[in-house]
Amino acid sequence: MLKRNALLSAVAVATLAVTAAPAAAQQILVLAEDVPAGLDYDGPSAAIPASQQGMVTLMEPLVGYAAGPANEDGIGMPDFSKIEGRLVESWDYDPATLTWTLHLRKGVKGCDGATFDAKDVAYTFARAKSVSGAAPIGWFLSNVASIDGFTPAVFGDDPKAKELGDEVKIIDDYTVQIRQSEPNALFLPVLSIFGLLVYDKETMEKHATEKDPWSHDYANTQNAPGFGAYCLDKWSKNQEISYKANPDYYRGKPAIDKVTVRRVPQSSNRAVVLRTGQAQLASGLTPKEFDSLRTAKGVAVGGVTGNENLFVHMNFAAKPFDNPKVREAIAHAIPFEQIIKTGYFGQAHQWKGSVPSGYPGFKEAGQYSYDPEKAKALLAEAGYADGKGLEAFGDAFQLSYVAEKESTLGPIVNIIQSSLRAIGIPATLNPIPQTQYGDRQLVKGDLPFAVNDQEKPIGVDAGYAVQLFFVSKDKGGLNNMVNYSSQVVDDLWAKARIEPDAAKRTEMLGQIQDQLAADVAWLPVVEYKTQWAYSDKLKGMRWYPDNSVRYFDLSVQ
Amino acid sequence: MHREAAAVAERPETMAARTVLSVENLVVGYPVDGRMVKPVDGLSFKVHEREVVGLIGDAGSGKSTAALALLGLARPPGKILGGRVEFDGRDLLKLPEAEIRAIRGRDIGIIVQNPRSSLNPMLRIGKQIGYAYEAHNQASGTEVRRKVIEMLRMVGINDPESRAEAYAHELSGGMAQRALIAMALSSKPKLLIADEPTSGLDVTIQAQFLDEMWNTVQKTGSAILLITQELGTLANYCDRVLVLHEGRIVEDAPVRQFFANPQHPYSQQILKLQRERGHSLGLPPVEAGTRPLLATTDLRKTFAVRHTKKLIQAVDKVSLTIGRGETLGLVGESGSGKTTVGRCMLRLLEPSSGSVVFDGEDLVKLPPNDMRRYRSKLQIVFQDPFDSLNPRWSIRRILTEPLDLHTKLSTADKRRRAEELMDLVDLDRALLDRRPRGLGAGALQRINIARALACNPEFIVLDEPTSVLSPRARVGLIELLVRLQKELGISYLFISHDLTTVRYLCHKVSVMYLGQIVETGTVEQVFSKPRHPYSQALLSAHLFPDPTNRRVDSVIPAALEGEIPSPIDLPHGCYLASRCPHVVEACRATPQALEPLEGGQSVRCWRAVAGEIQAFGGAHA
Amino acid sequence: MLFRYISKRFAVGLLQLIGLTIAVFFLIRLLPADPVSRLVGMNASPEAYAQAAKQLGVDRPLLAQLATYLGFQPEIAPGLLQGSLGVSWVTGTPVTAEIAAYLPVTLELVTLSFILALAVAVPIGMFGALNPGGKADKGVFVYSLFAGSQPEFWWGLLFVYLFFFTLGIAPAPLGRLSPMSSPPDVVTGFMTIDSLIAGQFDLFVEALHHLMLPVFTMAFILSGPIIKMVRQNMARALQSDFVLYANCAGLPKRRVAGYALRAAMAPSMTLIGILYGFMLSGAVLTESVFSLGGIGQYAINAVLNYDYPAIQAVVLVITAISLVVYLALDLIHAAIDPRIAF
Repeated sequence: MLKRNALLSAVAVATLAVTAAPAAAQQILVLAEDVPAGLDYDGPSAAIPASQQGMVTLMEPLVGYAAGPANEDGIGMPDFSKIEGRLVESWDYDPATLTWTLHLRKGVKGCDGATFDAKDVAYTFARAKSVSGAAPIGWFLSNVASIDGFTPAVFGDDPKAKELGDEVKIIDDYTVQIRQSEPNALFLPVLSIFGLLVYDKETMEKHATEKDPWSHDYANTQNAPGFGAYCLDKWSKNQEISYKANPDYYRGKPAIDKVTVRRVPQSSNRAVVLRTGQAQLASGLTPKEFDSLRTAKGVAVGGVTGNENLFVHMNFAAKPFDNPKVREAIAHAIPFEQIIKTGYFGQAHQWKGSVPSGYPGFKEAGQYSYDPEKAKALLAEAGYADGKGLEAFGDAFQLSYVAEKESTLGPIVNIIQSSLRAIGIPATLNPIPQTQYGDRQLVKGDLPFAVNDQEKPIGVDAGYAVQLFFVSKDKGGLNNMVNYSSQVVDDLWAKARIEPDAAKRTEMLGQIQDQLAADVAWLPVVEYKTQWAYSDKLKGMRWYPDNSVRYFDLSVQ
Repeated sequence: MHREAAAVAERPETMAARTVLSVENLVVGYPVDGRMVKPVDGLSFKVHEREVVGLIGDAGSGKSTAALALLGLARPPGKILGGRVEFDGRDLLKLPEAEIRAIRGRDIGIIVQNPRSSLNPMLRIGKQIGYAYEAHNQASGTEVRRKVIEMLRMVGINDPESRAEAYAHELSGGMAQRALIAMALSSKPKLLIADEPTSGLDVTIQAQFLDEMWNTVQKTGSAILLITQELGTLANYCDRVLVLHEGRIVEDAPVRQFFANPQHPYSQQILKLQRERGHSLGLPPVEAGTRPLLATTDLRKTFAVRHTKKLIQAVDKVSLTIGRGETLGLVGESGSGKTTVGRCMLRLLEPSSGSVVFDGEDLVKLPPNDMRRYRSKLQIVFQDPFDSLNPRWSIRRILTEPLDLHTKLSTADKRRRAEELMDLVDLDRALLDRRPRGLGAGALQRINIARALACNPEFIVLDEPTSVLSPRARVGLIELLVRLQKELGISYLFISHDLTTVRYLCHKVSVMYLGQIVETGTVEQVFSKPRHPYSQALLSAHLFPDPTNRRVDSVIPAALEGEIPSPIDLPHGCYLASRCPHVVEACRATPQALEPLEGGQSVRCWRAVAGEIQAFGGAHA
Repeated sequence: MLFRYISKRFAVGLLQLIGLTIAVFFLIRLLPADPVSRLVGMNASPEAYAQAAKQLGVDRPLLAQLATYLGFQPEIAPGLLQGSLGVSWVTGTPVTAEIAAYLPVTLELVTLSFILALAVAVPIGMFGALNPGGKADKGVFVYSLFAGSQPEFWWGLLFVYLFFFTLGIAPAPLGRLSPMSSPPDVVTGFMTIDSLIAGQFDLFVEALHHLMLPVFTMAFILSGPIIKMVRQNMARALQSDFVLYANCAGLPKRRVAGYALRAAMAPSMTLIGILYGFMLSGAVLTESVFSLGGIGQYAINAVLNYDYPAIQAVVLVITAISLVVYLALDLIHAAIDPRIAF
């Protein structure tokens, strides 16, 4: 009781102080499911969203998307049609030599007086090319954007292939040139992603060792020195991380002086503490919890339709999913409205495409309505009237999903299971742990039937998503989990990838998406809102495609 | 051990003295299978000041239950159902908890049958005795300690300061019992209830203990209620006798009158059993010159002590002979090695050295397969009849097991033999299909004997076969053994500490002490004229049921001091030196050898051989 | 004698740990998933896979990996012989440092819970044995059934709702200290002890305040079996010969109860030891509810993430602690009961 009162009075005093003297210090407490396990985007924890949140808070990208207007919930959205410079002030592109000339911003300061110049940019790319970490994310993004020299050859035995060549050239202290090998439109979008945030060369090299020349240990266990809005104050893995505002941040000192992020594993606890006002922001709650917080006093719930979606995964390599009629039958057997209502409490809509609907290049394609009669007819056409004959494929109809997400996916997979059984498909539920799911889905590629809500393409481009998921594996498909292979799509993509004309490119991407819908490559179910619950005094929430919050945007009224 | 002979010479008649305890119609019940069993049903008697009253009854007759009930206690789930226990003018059964607690331990003390389990195993005994004292007396810490040492010394424990630091499991039975007396008498109670205080104790220790108890009680002026099954104890220590039968007192008489002229049929029955056996059967000795059936020569057995390099000399150069149809008695106390000798003879334990010649063949040298052939001829009956029989087999199976092992009889023949064996031991044939569960100890022991007889043995080792039996069952078993020997001509090695039975049953007897034979001779020789100081002490310690010749009324010169020493660190000279009343310096220095005397008697004591020790009329005739 | 006994136990324990280490090493590699797959989430190309496998060291032959783990190839990486438990595949931090951070949290929670549970359960059990069939005894019977049958995280969440949200007397389930306080310098890892060592008494009180609910939850669960066991053992002791004799000697009721209690505690020690070892990892649910970063949730995350070095290290550490606890309990048992000799 005392502590709560003390904290409330502290907040009250702070609020008074804010209204009295606008420049007074603000603090917030954020409750998250997890805190960063590491801050190295080439390290083992790069794929963990909580770690990415830490990286984007401490480091700054070269470019970013312009801020668009707020949506109906008051959450700011990005304007994907406009990319603006961050650490880069302006740029020129020479199509003949495929070279980008980046003019870097002057006077940018990081934490502890670090200064930004071209050397930091070169260091960042050299580090990415060295592929010395556990996960070569930096290299991957550069490769996807066709930066010259960032080819799979770096993984060979030749040490020279890992060295940065002249594809990244320092012209002067504030000018860098980067050369592509093809006219790939993904160059600028990729530079905004967390996997190419700029490191501060001096600090990183100070902590380099003979065994670890690129300071992976340092970045994984101590700090990610960069030029972001915040500096690292305290970091206890598995417990909390706290940031202090960078007073020299080039866009101005952040309104919130200190951000403390606490790890609170139970979502119900996050909700309950938020209600008391002790914390100001909570994420990762279940749809039900968000729904009930909507009416709580002092709490606001806001969400965006971003890039979070749910689809049914049917593996082409597993019979009978190679039969298109079976795929279509199942597509008509999903009760979309019921899922939206029961699983997401209305905070979702049916997904009518194969890439996030807000991404540039998205084309609405594939309208599957919930029609059980039609589904049964299609199944009969496929030769399995009333599901007879499907018992032969017993294992194929085990509907897998990530066990750790039982609280959110549980109701949904149950609905899907019942609907499938209603048309005769012998579906059973198969929750498996995350790592095992990932292994089967990506490495082995042998997961026959699953429900997946974790694919959020980090590159904001329909083409990026296509390359990731739908291009044949031997033609460069990186995460083609359903073993989809279409000559049409592959040929179209080979052309679209390097098409310099934006309009032509969009046209080809549209054709690809039509084909994906016709083949039921994925069975898209819903796009659900990415939500946060926060104190109603917290203003300035914005959504970013990596689903991480930028504390710089926030302020407390 | 000292005795103030003068002080105890004549005891005044106690009839006119004050009543200390008066029990009227005491009833105690136990719920068994829904019914209420009443081991105490209408018990009434009185105890007077300074009187020693003996309470005798069969096993399970409710004596212990009665003893506890006098204090207002009952072992759960029993309950005191009614009656009156008047002590010092108050009815104990009606007193509130706090008051009766004050009386227990202070005004009435009790010592019970299993001393070691009655002591708290986790506290040092000095502390426990201290608590008992503190419960009734105001005293400071140092005073309590002083009192404890004083009490321990009074009950005859040597070196009480270090003994007080011992734990219950480190004490011998006798010492534990003495600690209990110290606890019970620490607050000088007016009445001491002693419930079978010497069961399980060795003969010499038993005598020592009862003497101590007697002495201490004389000093404190308490009355004693002495509960026992043994007529010997009764005769030698009590002034008055109460007989408990079927839950109530059936006879109440002064001790001499009781022994001379028992009134109640039950009392008569008890006395008859005991008296008959006060003499020897007078069996004719075996013809000399014939080859003995079994002879051991220089038999030795040592055991290694775990975790150390020390050895226990359990049997030290034992040489015995047994003729056909002869019974050799082997007597001694704990640690004497008599049990080990019996087992070594049968090679149940492998002798460390020496020979065991049976019918001309040295058994020790035989390879295992050959030894098996002899097994049917050499048998053993153990002390605990319950442990010796497989509780899951039928009696028939138990009896036919040796037949399966040693004979090739048909099933029908085996059945017939089993029936024969039951007849032989006087048991009902109908028992053959039952399991041992539920049969009494006496019947079980007979089955053991029957099993031993199954293959017509020539020699049976009987290892304390009667020690757990009630006196009545004991008598029956002995009769059986005698009859079997007469009919079948079997030789026995009868190991026992019950001298009365040994005298009755055996032709010859050997006395063992700490692994050595200290005296051998015919029963007549050893019992009437024991030459070795140990045999003398043993025999004089044996309480014979003759109230006219009470132990407490005279000074015994043959008494031994102290405890039986540990068999690990045996002295160089005579093993008895630390306790012998006739010890001189030379005894300690020289190892003693078994020397023959006239008439076939042998003794291991140079002073006895030299005639320096008077052979007294040891056993009361 | 005592020294020899302890050394013998330690030597045997060491052998057990070595055998266990090697067994666990091979057993976890039988798990049905590939630990590398976790690192290739963004890009599952064969090159990325190979790179990740090389980083984790799983591209080497199995026996070579074992040799490195045990410490026979210190030039490649330090191993057990050099006192290193490896580096976590999830965080990149040395596992020894991680365990040193998380283990004291659980130890503090479990130890305090046991102390509270014993302080409450032993007197109640004693009381029940001394007054069998009474109202208190029946009440306790119901309680011990009730407390033991529901899972502790259910109780934990219920207590959070009740005591924090509704009544407001407990702090928010946000961890060991309030998020706004800075913890004292780490000496032992126990928040209570460290704050006392640092002389920050207010932090000490705060730490206790935050431990209030989790300790209460766990003590609630633990006390059920302890009450039952103490009651049973004590009832048996009250029927023994020496208690009967103590009554005969007229010892006061308190003293006799003390006799019975001491006799009852000796066998209870064994159960308490087993419970303690069990609760070290069994506390994970309580830790999760109260956001305490303890060894249990570390172990679970390690297993779910297929973080082999962490899994191996946790098994080793918890086994070692259990062995030490069993040894300590055997010694306590021998101290209480002089019949036990070595």
